[in-house]
Amino acid sequence: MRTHTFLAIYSKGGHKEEMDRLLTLLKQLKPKLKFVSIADMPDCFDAMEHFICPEPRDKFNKWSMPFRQIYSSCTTFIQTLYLLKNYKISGLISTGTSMVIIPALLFRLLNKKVIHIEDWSRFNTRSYTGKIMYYIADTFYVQNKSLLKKYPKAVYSGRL
Amino acid sequence: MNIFTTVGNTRFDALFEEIDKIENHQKWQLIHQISDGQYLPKKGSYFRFVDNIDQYYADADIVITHGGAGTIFKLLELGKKIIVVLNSHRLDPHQTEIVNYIHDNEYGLACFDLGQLPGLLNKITDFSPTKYKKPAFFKTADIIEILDIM
Repeated sequence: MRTHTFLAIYSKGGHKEEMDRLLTLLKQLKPKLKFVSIADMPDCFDAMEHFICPEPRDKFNKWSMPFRQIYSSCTTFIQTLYLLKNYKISGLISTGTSMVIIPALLFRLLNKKVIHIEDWSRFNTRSYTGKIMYYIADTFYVQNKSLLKKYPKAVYSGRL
Repeated sequence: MNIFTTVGNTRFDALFEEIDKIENHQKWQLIHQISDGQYLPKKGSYFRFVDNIDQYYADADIVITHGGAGTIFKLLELGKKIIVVLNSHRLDPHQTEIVNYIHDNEYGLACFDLGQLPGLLNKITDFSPTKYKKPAFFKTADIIEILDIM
């Protein structure tokens, strides 16, 4: 029988730190927490199964971005299909990385839950990923109250 | 005075070049975390990445940090004295918001232009930051319910 679980998506730096804090909080209530994950780095949190996806954005070179994004999208698409086939996944949660977009679309098509937590460095403007995920996610959390002006339907969550 | 400089995952050579230019190093013990930067600091010691960065935070009197939110929130929770430096060499300008947040709330000193750094280092000893109270995350139970986590 396939294990009942959820998918966590994060990336290097702040997004990983945010996921670390989120998983710590979840484990306090659910000590046997099981999940699968996708990130642009090796498994940091002892997932049941973990996939590494190439980072879709370059912080210094904008010309390489379209190619990276296509490659990254194809990769996450295949990884998500594999995980959906092998696990009984209820939904996904991400802490603000653009590689979540394709998995999130797939999940919504299959009527699975999508939770997005907008990056904690955002106070007055929307992130690239946030702008898109605001329309895809079932539940969209912001960590800074001032952001509710930009995302009227978002839910304030407090800060991780 | 122990000064630890950290740039997280994103190289920031201009910051270390600026620190090397600053006079008055006699009283300062400098340690730098430089990520994959190409410029190697001449003053003090440096490393690229480290597992126990918390120890370096603990040993520092002052931490000079890039505008990464993860590092900044951690340092605020530890009650450290910080100088937050905006990395304007990145394509994505989102660090401006958190640097403004630090500046407006006086949680630390903000450096919007590297030319300000010598002045801020002189100012930081007498600077008393506003105490940071973290607005706790309160949606954990909701997430467990939505995702049906067992």
